[in-house]
Amino acid sequence: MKVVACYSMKGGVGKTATAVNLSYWAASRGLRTLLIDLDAQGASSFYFRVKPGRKKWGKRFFQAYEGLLAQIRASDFEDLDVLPAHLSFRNFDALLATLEKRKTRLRRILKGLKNEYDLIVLDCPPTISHLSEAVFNAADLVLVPVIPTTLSERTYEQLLEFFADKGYASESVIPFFSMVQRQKALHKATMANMRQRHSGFLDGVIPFARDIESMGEHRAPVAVFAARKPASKAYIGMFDELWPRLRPKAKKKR
Amino acid sequence: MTALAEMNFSLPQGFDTQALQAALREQGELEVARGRREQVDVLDNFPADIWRSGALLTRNRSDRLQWWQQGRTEHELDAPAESRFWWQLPAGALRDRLAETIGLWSLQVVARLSVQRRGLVLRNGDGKIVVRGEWLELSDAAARLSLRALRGYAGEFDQARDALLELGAQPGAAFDLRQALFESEDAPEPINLKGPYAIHSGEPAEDAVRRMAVSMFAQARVFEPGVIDDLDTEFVHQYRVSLRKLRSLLGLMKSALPPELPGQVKQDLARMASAMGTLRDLDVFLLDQDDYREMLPAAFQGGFDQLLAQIRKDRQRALNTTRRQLKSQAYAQRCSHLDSLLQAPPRYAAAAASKPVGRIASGRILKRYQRIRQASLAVTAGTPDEQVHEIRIECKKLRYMLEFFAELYPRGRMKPLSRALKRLQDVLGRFNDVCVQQEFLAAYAQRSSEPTQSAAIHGLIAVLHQDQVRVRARVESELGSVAADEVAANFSAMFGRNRSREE
Repeated sequence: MKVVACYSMKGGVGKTATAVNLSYWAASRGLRTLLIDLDAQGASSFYFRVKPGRKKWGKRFFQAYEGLLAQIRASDFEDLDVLPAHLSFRNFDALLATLEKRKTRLRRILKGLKNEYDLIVLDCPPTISHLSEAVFNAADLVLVPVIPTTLSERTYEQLLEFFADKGYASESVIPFFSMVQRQKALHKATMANMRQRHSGFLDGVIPFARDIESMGEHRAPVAVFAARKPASKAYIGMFDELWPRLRPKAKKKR
Repeated sequence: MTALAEMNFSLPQGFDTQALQAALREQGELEVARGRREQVDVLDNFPADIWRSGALLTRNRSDRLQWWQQGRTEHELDAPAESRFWWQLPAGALRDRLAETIGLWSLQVVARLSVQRRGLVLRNGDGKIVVRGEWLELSDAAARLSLRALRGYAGEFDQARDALLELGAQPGAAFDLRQALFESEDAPEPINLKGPYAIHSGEPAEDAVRRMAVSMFAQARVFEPGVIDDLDTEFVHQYRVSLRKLRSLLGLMKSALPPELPGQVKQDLARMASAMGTLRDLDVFLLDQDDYREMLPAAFQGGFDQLLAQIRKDRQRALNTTRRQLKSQAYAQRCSHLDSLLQAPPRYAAAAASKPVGRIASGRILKRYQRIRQASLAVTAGTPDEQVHEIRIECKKLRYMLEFFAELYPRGRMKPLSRALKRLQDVLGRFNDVCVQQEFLAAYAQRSSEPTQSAAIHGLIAVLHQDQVRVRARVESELGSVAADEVAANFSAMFGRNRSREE
């Protein structure tokens, strides 16, 4: 089982759109996928029409995976389940106050799901917090959307510094360009510049597209209502590019 | 995690979906897809490995692929039109599954089924799907309906199930497409590429060897139509492998055969296999073309394209030659000559011919292993490559022997032995491949008068040479592990005792 986090400390850069569409493609290509909506705002859950339970169960999130399971909902798509966000998730930081907890809690709870899922996608809130540290400890890959502007470049570099400071494996960070407007000279120049300075950017980029914005109206991944449009193709490209790192280990032959 | 509820029903005649819709009105809206009877193709590779694995692969008219296992679709995806190989499919679990199951074989249509399937879903007030089902009709059998609970929506499942029971649906077994295919007598028949040959260890060696030889020769000929139709590269490969195995069998067991027989047969076999040698070399290059392309920097790509074009042309020529040969009178005569030689009644002219085949085989296997072990222990970093190649050939023969006579020995004890050899052979095989590929390319370099093409070829040779050096460094340790005392003890225990027991 692989754990992929969609993370950025900036908001509105395309984290949720990535989490939703990547989960969709992973499931439709045969990976048993669970999308965990860690953002108390619950955008991912909304896109999949999944409502959270009524009980405030956030404080028990890290305790036992059986409790977590009870909250999981099937999406409308084969092989894709969603763990919807709950407002009580905003207290996660308090629950992860000690270093020890940040190191082990989330990772342990996700490990409990390894027989059920091939892939877990974490949609993270836009902060750098105890929760994000727990995410970095638990994730095999941290997908970071970067809008090609100067400010985003700085934010990305801050993240890399944070990784270096804390001693996390920087190889797990996979940046990609998001909300790209090719007609903008600044975007083009920043992309070229950043690719030169930082290795590991995905080849594929996610364009700035009306279709991605309309996910909210349709409450569905882009592929469902705009299958042939560039935005949808961009997410397929992203999945294909990530596939070698997402593929489950081959089962032992009998 | 608790398994999700799933239930199968057979539906009474004249079952009405509108009644079900009405019964579930309070829970939400029931959507039943429009049903259409459609022809689906059942796909498999030539040896029917998918069928053998317990699964079933179907493709409908709009190129939707579905992988069935244990009565349900486990994976599905939209395949590109005309795709026949696993690597032509989009990345994902189904592609990996196929790669593992069918290898380099192409997918062929092996049967057709006429099915009517209609998905049905129950949506709640949010438009969210809360229960899923499938309506299925196959030929004249009663319609079936399967109902599946979705995680987090167990209550809705229970309500739908109760509504169905109320309407007279009968709970039944899961519908199995494989079973249906089996009953229609269209199920594919798997081909065994590695025996068994129905021999037993007490029978006279000549009888057993002749029977095995006949079966191997028939095996090779099974691939001829696929070679002629050029369905994929495996037909040529397996044809050659079968003949090579036959040649090895006759050589290795010659003490059990009339002295002149191996000589008579070998020549014919060598000629048949060599006709396809060129074709196979070209196939191997073309199969690896993507890897080769990646080895070269951008500036060499043009030259590489020229090389590819040349190789494709040569392949077509080699294929035409092969086709001509397979269809020729001379080939037919050679085949019937071979058949009559192999099928002749045993003469027991040789000393070992009437001895029990198990004893002879054990003796041969042990002797060969010991010979390989001696040679392996003598290999150092400075040992010439030719010597390594000789050991490789000996190892291959030993592996063949283990494969040919596998049915005479306990399976569990045979496995670790062939596994030890397999690893060694992978390394030696890789070593051989990179050497052969360099020679293959060198021949093209000599022919080429295009500077860009020559540059690409020499670039590839350089990379392959690096590979060769790297692989060569691993040879010693792998040889060492096969020559280890423990492995040697296993071989003597298995094949030494067998021999003494029967004496």
